[in-house]
Amino acid sequence: MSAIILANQSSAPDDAGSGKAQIYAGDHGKLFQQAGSGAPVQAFLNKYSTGFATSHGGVTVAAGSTHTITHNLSTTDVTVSVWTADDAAGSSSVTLVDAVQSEGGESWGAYITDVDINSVVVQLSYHGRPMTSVGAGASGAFYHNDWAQSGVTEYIKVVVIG
Amino acid sequence: MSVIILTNQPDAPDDAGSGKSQLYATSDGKILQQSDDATLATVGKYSTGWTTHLGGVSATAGSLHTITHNLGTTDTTVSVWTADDASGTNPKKVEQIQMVFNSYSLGAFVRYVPDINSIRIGLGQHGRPEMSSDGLINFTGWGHVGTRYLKVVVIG
Repeated sequence: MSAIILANQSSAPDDAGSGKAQIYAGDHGKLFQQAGSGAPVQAFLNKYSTGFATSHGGVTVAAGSTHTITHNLSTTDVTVSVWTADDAAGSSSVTLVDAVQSEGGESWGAYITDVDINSVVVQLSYHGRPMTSVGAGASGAFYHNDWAQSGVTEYIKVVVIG
Repeated sequence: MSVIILTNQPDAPDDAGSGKSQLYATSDGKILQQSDDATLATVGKYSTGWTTHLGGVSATAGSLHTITHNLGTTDTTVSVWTADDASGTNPKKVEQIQMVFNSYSLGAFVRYVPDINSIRIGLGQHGRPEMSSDGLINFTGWGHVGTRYLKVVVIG
C-alpha cells in the first residue's frame, strides 16, 4: 500500500465500537481517530515551519518588529515556537526564545500576540534574544544579544504545530 | 485490517482530489498528509519520562543536558517539566526562558546543536520559577523536592 485516501466527512461517522478504532477525515481534511465509542481526537497533528530567515511576513527582523506568519493549518489550536540562529543554516547559536523576560526594564525574547485559523502574529521584544551560560563550570546566568548586533545577523524560525 | 503499512514513496503521489485526504510515506519514512491543495507534515513525539539525571546529568546550576529524541527534524517544540517524584507528582511546566529578577536566573533554556536528532537543555543559575496561588513568582533550587525529577517532551 502506498497511500491511504479518505473521503472528507461532513459529520462524525458511527462509533467504531468496542475493541475497535477508526480514522476518518473531517470536513476540513483533518484526520481524526476514535477508540471504541470514545470522543474523537485529531489523529495526526500537522506542522508548519518558516525555516530560518531574516525577514518574515515581509518584515525584517529587528527590535520590536511584528511578523504575521501564515501557516494554513486551519486551526487556532496550535503551539508556536520561535527559534533564533546566527546563520541561515541554523547551525550557530540556535536558541528557543518563545517567551519574554525582563531585567531592569528591558524586554527580551518573542511573544505570540494573535492567532487565527491560518496565521499567528509574532512580536519581537525591543532588547533582543535571551541567552544563558551553560555547561561545565558555567553559572547558568542569563544575558541577551541584541536583534541586530554589529556583525551578527539574526535569523528567526517560527514552528507552528496544530 | 489491524495494521496499515505504507510503502515509502520517492515522489509525492497524485493529489487526493477535492473533498478527499490522503496519507503517504516519503522516501525517508516520514508520513505526510495531503488534503485539498495543502500538503502538511505530521509530527512525532519524544518524552524522556521522569528522571533525576536528564540526559545522564543531574540537575544543577548551569548544568547542560543533551536529549536525544531521534525525530529527524529541527522544527520542534520543547517542554521541560519538573515533579516531586518519579510518578510525576505535582508536575510544573518550566518555561524555556524565565524571567530574571533580583539577579536570579531561573528556569530552563533550550538550544540545539546543529543536529536533527537532539537538543540541549541548560538550567538557570538559581532554580525553577513557580507561581503561587496569589500570582507571585517564587522559586525552588535545583535538586530539592519539586525539582529533583525532570522530564523533557519534544514534538516535531
